[in-house]
Amino acid sequence: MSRTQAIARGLLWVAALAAVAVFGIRHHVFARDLGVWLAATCTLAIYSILYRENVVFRLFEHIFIGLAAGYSLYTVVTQVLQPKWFTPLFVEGKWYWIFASLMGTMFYSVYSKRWSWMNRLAAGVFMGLSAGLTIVGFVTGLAPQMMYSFKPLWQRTPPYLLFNSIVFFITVITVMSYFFFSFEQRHPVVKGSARLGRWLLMVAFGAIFGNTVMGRMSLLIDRLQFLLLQWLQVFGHR
Amino acid sequence: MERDWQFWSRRIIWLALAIATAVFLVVKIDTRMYVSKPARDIYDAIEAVPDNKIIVVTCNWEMGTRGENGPQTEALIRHCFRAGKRFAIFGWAFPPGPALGQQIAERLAPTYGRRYGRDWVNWGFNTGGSPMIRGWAKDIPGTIKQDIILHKPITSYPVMRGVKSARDVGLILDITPSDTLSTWVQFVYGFYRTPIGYACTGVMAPEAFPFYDAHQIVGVLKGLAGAAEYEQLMGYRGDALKRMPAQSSAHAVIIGLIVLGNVIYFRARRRGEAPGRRLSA
Amino acid sequence: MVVTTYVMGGLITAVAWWALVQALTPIFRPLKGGAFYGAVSASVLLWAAVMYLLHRLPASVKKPVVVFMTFVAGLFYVLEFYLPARSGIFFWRASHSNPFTPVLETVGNATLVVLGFVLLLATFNLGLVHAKNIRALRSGYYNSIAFYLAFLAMATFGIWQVYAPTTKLFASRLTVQQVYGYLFNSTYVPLAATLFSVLAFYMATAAFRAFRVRTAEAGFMMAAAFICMLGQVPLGMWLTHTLPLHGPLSYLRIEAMASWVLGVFSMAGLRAVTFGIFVGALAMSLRIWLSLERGAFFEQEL
Repeated sequence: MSRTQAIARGLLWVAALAAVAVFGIRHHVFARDLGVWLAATCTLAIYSILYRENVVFRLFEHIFIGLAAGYSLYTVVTQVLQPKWFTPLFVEGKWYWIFASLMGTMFYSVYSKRWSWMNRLAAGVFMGLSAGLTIVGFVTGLAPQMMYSFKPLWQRTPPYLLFNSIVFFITVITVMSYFFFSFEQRHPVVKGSARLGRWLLMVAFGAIFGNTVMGRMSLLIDRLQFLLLQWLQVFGHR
Repeated sequence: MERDWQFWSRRIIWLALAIATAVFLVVKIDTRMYVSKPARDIYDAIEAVPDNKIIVVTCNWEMGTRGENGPQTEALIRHCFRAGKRFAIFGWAFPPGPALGQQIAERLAPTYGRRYGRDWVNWGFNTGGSPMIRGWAKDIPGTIKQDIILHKPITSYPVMRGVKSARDVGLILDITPSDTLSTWVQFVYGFYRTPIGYACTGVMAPEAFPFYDAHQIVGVLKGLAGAAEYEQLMGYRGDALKRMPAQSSAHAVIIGLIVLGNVIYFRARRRGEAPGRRLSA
Repeated sequence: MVVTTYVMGGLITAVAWWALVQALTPIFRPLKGGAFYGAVSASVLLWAAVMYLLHRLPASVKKPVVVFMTFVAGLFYVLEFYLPARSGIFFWRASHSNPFTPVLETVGNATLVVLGFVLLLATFNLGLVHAKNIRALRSGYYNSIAFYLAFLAMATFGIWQVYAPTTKLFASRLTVQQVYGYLFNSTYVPLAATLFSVLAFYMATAAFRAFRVRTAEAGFMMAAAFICMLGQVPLGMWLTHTLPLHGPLSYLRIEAMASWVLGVFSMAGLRAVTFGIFVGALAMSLRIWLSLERGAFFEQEL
């Protein structure tokens, strides 16, 4: 198909859809709000990928990337740089904040082969900061986890609590033994424990999978609710 | 022929999923949820926040997970408004988060007679991750400086009276699809013992339970179901409860597809056919 | 030998840092007018001079400088945490308090600002990629034009509506804030939400084609998945609603089973995984902090 034919076909599609839209709006099938129509157009353009790869989907995908990049720029400028760098530096006269911007611009040296070591230096400083924080967080984050892993295995408790503690103990020990990769697991006890740990870990993976399905379906339901109840007026607002 | 069947079978499955879900969005079905202990614990934690402390509603989410985090944010903000608890909207993982939280708060405020500046404030989006949170926990006004709605110093708002550090925060509600919980637990709960409530997407929910068991977080809202449980607790029928029938239908479709796919596979295997020939469906 | 080097390096750094802070503290105060511009200019020139000097050094010297700076940066948080809040070892301070704790907020704010500039780098890079597409008129270059139009529209109207929201556009009734509202609520939000919701359809295809219960372990996993899927929706709750709410049989209600799977069984497995994650993160952090890590980024020529 030549370019002219493709453009003509595209224009015919647009005209047909516009006619349906006008008819639908006049007969209260669709919403009248411009914002709802814009949103519906964007939604249906993205869903067109479900039929097959097409130019409309690619166009709106790029529009989305542009909007996301523009929004990042707007947020960083107005919510981060202006109140936390520009105002202290130029309004309050705290001249030493210039060093923060110089450090930030060092990251841009990644585009120059000759000066890219500056990016390595700046990245090294921030990796060092994060690493130091992680070492601190190891103590504050892990200690309670270890403490609460020592559940009572024998005391006067309701049967289900004792059962839960035993299940917990067996699962934690066997799953941890499964992850011992630094030596070969030859002893039958270790091997058996690792195999049982693998089985029991499947329960966690199953729970993660089940919840993932729930999560993904929720996102679809959100968009379908918009299309059916806000864009299409026939079903009314709920 | 095989390629056509491959093409159309996928579209048929997708259409079946969309129709099965759409039907239960249009047909009104009253549903009741069993309220789990992790959700109830967040409810109790909000109720227990003293008047001299603030709640931090951290909107660390964006539009991609609005289907789950949106109803959660609405339920939690609604509870804060209803209980008269002052709160601040905050975010540091995704730029649109605080703006989305602000939209929800502005929509709900007239219902409860709440006013921006007096009952809530928006601290906006902050970069910096863990180092920023470590500094924030020590000095909140020094880190946040101004709000993003009226662009005034945050200390000028009545809602911020007496709030200087994480010790003046009664509860942190982390609403997120990402792993921001470990930062809160390690650098805020670990140092200041500030209670943390976690409202996450379904994917992150299982990973939250080790923290819940270790009492590092007070409760968990698991995705849309968690939001529906919270609405049940609050006694109102919001988006989450309205969507649960459609959610049920979608789960039934997925379970049905898994079972059907396995039935076809095992029948083919019993017949001795190579897996993958008939199973291109 | 390595440990001694690090310890000596840390001690020298600590003493040098203390001396520098004592000498420079009177200088670090807000300035106005000519003094301010002079201080900013002097800072930029000093920075440029230091960077130029470092640039002139051979690669064999640059690498240790990077290693040293990485170590010092990590040392800040480690010392702040492991040194006591108050002790006689801080003899030079009147209150004997940890000298690193008051600087926590400043370091956090500085990180915030620097990472703000870094976020802009990602946007800059995207712009470069699409500019190349347009310049070379590659296939689909009009998509890159659409990217730029959307980017400029959102950035312009987003920043504009913060400072002058009620400005009317081109003698129309539309204000800047309304246009931003259409861009954010009617375009950006639905596009993002829809792109993520497409995953639900792919999950349905995967459920039919790929989730095969070939082994007993996979069956165990599927059983747990089905319990979790049904136990959190009204359909599952309806399936077992005839069972009593209290007593031994209540544990067979699907929502109770789902709670048990999530809260006990799965939690135990993930607790063990969490231990591994924490220890792994500690090991990785130590390797990065001490510059022992290998890889393309860490071994690149300076």
